[in-house]
Amino acid sequence: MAQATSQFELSSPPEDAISALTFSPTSPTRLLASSWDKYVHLYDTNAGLNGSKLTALSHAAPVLDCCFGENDGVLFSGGLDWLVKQWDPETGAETTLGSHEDGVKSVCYNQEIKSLISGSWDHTIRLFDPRASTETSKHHQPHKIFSTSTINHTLVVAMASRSVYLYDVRNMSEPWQRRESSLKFQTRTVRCMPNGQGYASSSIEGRIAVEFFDASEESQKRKYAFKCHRAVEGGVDVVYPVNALAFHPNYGTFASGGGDGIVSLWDGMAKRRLRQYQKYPASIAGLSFSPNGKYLAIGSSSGFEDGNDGGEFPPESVKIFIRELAEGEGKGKGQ
Amino acid sequence: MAKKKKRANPEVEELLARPWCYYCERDFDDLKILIAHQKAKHYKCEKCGRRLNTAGGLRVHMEQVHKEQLEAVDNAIPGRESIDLEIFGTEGIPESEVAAHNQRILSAFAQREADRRAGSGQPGAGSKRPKIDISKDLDPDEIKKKLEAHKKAMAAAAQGTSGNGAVPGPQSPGRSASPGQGAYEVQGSPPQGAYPQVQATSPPPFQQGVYPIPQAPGPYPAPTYPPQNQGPFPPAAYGQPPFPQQPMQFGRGGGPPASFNGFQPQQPQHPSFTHNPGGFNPPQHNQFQQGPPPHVQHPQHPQRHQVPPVPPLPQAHQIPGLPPRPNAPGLPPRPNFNNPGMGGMNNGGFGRGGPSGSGSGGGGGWNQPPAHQQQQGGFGGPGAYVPPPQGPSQQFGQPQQPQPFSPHQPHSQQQFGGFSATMQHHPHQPHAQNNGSAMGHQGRNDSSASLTATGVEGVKMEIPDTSTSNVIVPPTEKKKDEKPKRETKMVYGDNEISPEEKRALLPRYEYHPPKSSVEVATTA
Repeated sequence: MAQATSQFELSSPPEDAISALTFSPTSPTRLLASSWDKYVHLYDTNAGLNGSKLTALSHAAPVLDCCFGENDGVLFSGGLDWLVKQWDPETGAETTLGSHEDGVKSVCYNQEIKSLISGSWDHTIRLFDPRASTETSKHHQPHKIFSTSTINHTLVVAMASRSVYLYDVRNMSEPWQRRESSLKFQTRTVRCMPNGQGYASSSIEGRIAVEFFDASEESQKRKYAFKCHRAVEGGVDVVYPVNALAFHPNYGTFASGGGDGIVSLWDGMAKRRLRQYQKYPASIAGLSFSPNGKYLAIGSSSGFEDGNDGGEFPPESVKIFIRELAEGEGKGKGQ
Repeated sequence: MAKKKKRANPEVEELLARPWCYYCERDFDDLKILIAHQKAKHYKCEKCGRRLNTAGGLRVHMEQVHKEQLEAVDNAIPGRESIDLEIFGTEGIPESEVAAHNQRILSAFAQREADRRAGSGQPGAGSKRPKIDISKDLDPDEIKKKLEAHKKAMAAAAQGTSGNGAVPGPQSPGRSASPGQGAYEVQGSPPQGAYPQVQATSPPPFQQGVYPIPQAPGPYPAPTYPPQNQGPFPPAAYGQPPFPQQPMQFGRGGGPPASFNGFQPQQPQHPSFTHNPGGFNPPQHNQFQQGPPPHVQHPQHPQRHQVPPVPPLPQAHQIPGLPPRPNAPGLPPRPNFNNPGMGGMNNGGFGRGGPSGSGSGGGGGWNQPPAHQQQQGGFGGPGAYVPPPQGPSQQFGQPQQPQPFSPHQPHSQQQFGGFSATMQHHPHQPHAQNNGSAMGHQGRNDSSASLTATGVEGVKMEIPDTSTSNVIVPPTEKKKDEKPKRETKMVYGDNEISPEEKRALLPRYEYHPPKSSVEVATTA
């Protein structure tokens, strides 16, 4: 219950809404944040009292997603300037891997094939080889790509019109599985389970679905969805979009962040909610667990996701919190 | 269990009695479960899993064991995270929050009732409505007030012997006035003419008769009504204030006149009535615009007036509980009759009487009939009077219905064996009538809820100070706050365009990548 003082706010947050947050897969104190302020910000969350900003890379337009590559020295980002960029935070050297024909909504790095995968509103998925800085393949999809996530050899592509395609990255010529989201509304985010068994997806209608890769009947029976991030206001059930999902690297539990500014921890196996944190000042835009599972980065910023659709998004609502998880916090039942 | 119960349409009292958790607004079947819930959800140490009993306990635990500062209660709804409140079970919850919680329950309940009624297509279904009213009227505080008032009234009555007869008279008018204007008027008007004599002569009988009546109500109501009703109503009816005052008056003017004096406020009305013996109806209407039922009944009233006129006054007093409501809502006169407390009493009695009498709801009109019965009972002493009342009673089957209301019936039955039979009928009739009467009740009951158009004003007037008014009013306002059938509103409702795309269209993010976008980007 008690909310210990195990959380701090990063100094010098982005100056505009946050689009994505991600911890380095290897270093528990490196946090990358992309923002609508046209920059990708790299933070050291362990420096000083409130962390420090190490560097930033600029795009010509708002950045929609970012991710780490093979190590802390390789970063990727994509944004509204249609470009997919790679850069080295140490030297500041940047390379443009390629260009889409519309905004780049999602980027993710696959360790198995050492490739960067980008998804765009131009209905394509493109793979890049970071070492050669070249585009290796392009795959047309039926709809705009809203979110991608990859684990092992599997790539999950969530698109508009509730379409979800599963790919085997070793054979990208054909989708491995074509699925329709089990959620009735627009897919917001998709994230793969660390154990490679399945994925969780969220929609704009306060709901999260947990599904499994295995197409067998008994495996598919295990899939489920549940409601969350809702509130009753003035007799009306207000439903917020679920913007962010993040799996705990060790426990396999996951956190969800909604337009209501609330972050919840879920045990996907036991189908239980583990924790619900105090409300954050604005819509949760990004969530990420550090690779050791000790920290949870929470990015909050106001926008359409929390009903602020007037076009004015107060910069002061943009905050990044680093929450230190207590021993066993985030651990599922029976683990 | 809880859900089951809820689906089974529990009574409001049950809902209100359920223990609930301050931090998350959840309610439980049992206090033990609530405490277990609080320990597990709100008072559990996140470091070591230890469960404490209160937020303060947890704070101390975290300070001493983990050297951490507790800042807020976990899993609490926004605004309730404070650790300053020492809450254990339902103890320690701020009064204001308790009131708000009860309001929410009541409003939810009202909403559910309304929905159910709408759903079942029984707009008038009185049974449910009345129940609600009763529950509201039965607010413990109000009952207490009434009980106190009753005790005082009884004491006062005991002191003033001669006044007794007079007292009942005044009270009765007030009460009767409320339910059935006609009745009220009847009493007033007829009494003035011929009855005064009766009263004067019969003072002793009246007193006896009257007092017994209150008692009688007790037994009657008991079966149909909750015990509370019995207690509070009779007392209320007796109106503490009226008694003392009336006795005084009586002493001065004599038995019959006394009653009038007591009614001074009413007097103006009465005079009019007296003047227009035949035209009672019109005056009544004017006065009791609010009470629709009375109007309908008016035609009947004349008859009644003729028959029971004299007795009614005393009886009315006894019956007060029943009729009072009608008077109160529709009629401004009430205040005159009774002290503020009386008004409240009447109201309470009203609600009770209505529900109990019909089961579904007693119409304002019913009250009047009861008055007649009462008259019979009260006058039981005077044999001569008896016959006339009977006639009316029969004629006014509906009016008699009010009898069910405890006080009247007992009297009538005891004194008039024949009436008992009629009485039995009454219950049935009332039900049939209930539709009409029920409407009136609903209006009153729901007035707070703004459901009814008629009689609402009156109700408010009367009930203002009582807890019931408070309870009722909120539901209207908060009705939609509660659970049943919630509308859903999606904060982001565009199912095709993602929020990012929308945002990207904003002028300040506008970006047109040059055809040689790659080059531009690299230069940047």
